[in-house]
Amino acid sequence: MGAQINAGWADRLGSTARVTLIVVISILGIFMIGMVAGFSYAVFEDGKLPTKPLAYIIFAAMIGFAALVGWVLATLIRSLRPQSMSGFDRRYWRMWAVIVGLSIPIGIGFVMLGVSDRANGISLVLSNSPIAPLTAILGSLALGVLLIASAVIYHRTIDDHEERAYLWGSTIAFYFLALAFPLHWLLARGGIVPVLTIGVALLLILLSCIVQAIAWALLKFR
Amino acid sequence: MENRLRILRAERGWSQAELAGHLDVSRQAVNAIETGKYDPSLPLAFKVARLFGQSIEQIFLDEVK
Repeated sequence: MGAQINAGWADRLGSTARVTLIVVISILGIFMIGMVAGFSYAVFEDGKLPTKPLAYIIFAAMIGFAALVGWVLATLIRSLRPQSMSGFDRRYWRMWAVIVGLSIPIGIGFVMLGVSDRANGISLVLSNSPIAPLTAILGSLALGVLLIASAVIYHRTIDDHEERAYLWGSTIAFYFLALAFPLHWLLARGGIVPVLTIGVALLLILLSCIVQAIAWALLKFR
Repeated sequence: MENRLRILRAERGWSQAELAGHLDVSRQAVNAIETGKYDPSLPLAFKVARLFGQSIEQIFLDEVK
């Protein structure tokens, strides 16, 4: 039933060393995100794709390095987990690895789009300034592929119990949205809150995702 | 819904993780069924019944009765 986890080089380190490395690599990861954001800010202008090939080579190198760091981190974390896993658990963790692996480069891309908005640099993905048509098409395709592929992989992997937690979480999140939008509209008409903008709409959708995640986690892990 | 899953598992000396492995579900699913927080779908209930060689009614108790 169970399969031995072979984390190779990580198994040869003590548990204290492994935990220390996980913390250090995680902190370095945060700095790396800052570096990517800074680099993006330097090469992107007004939401247009960079014209110099060197920029793409550096981006590819950054993504490759991020994948390597992610693999090291995943190996270290895996080595700290119990020594046997069921077939379901292996499929489940592999599924998350694939989804996170798909999300990281696309997430970096979206952060770059936000950072490229020089007028509202800190607004990141909530930015609403114009971008080049090609960038918009590529971004839409990447987001569509990510969401559809992730949803298919996720729903084909999870068990009956998690499916129910997910569906209830989604239902609660829908009720949240169905209440939040008309409430905001009414309150905006009364001059109590600002008029609904795309930024506020995205924020409400983001909040509904958080509501969904909380409900999902409560139902799955209670 | 009440059920005898914990008793049947204990009789075989299995942990929740081991039973989850036999049923191809997560350990959280087994725990949620055992504590009555989640009623399994019909396919999963049949899987449980097949694993323990009993009928669904012998494992999952009809509260109306």
